[in-house]
Amino acid sequence: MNRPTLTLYSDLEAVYRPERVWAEGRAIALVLAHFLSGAGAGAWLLGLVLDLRLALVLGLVAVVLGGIVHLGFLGHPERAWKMMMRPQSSWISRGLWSMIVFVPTAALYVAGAYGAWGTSSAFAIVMLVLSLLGMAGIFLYKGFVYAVSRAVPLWNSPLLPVSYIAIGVRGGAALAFVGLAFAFPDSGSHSAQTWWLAATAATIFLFLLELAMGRSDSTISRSLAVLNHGSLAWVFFIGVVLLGVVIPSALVIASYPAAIGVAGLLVAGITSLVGDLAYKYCMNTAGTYVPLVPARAR
Amino acid sequence: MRYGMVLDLRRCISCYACQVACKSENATPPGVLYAWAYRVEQGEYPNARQVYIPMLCNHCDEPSCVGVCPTGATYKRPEDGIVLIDSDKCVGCRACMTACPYHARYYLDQIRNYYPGQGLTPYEEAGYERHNAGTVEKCNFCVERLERGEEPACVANCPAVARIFGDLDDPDSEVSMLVRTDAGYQLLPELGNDPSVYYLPAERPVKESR
Repeated sequence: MNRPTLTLYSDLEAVYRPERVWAEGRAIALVLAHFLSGAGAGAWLLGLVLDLRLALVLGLVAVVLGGIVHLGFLGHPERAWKMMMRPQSSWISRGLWSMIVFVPTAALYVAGAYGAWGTSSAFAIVMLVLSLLGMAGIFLYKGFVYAVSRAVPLWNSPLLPVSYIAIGVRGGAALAFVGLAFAFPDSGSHSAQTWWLAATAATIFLFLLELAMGRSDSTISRSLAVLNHGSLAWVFFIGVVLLGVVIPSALVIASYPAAIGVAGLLVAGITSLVGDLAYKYCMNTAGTYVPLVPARAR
Repeated sequence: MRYGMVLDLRRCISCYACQVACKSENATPPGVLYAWAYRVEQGEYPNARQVYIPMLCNHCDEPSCVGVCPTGATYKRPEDGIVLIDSDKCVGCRACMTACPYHARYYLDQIRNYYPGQGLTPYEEAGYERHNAGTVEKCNFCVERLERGEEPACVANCPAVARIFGDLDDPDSEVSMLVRTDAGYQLLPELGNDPSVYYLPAERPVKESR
């Protein structure tokens, strides 16, 4: 009955109040949901571009799982349908609509791709176009859900939605690695690896650009201090940097001159996915509210 | 009409009567404070002092919590500008909490009692009927009191008359005049929410008492 509340009394007097509601407790479900749906949308895109049916299936499954996991975060999951009511102003509402469009159309397109009615019929093409629209919405909404929050400067950046698209593509490429490892272990193609490298480079560039743009903001500096040498440092450096970037980059780059085999692809894919999940957790948890009273008045 | 509140930081004596009156009026569970005080240290020794800034929902004219709500549970009443939550529509996504720069909102994950192991008191049993677990809550300017023609509980119970409530759209109302004549200011105006809660600075010339 009486377990600790999310509102800590110490927060009431903190100059830099940490954002907790999307970072602690059941919020891990929100982080996982955003990670899964982003990687799923990326896998759908790469599955189409690389003509890799298994990636399409993995992408669809990831988006569906993301939606289900998201319900675990809500206080009233049985009312989730009500989140469709405000697409004119709410990015959460737009995200839900995107999933509603994506899941059935993607499922029907996959059914066609596996032989039910092919992929070149008019029906399949309509499903493809609708699934692409849904995918675009899924790519976009997550970043904007955070970016519209003017109260949390770390999130309130026009670069964040772009960055979350890049991470989604990266996650999709990592899911494609897993699919390739099982479906085409001896494939000589490096297309998925190239996409992964490009998306990773874009993600790192956008993150560094965000740092450069926000370094004069005291609240963003506070958030970055939490990542750099605060409570999140080990998650950031081990999860994001080592597992998410260093290990998969080494494996992916090594795959160009020499085959890295099933195990190499699997390790690259899984470590990259773990890194993406850690990054989203770090971004949620490092969020800090803008101080109520400006520094000059303190 | 646009209801608003003026908080006079020179008159505030940091007695927390507003906080207690609010908890009593709204029967809020532990950890939920619609009205609270933000304590700020100003200056440096030997000229340091503490200033208490009473906080509540700012009932913004451009509320960022309304736009991000995916269900329409959070809305602004057009007739008086009060920002309210329909708990039957709230799904508990907490987007409004991340959007609110004034920390005015609380997520009630479950109903807790004040006396662990002893169950709910009769007061809690009666008061908690208006709270719904799994939803977000906040100050509503004591809308039920307003409809009875009474002031919000925090205003009525402030012993120092540091809280003044009224219509900001009426240029002759006390709140409008205080904002105009006593250098009333909003918190975080740069965020563009246009709060309906104004503060009168602690450091200003003393005029005849109200």
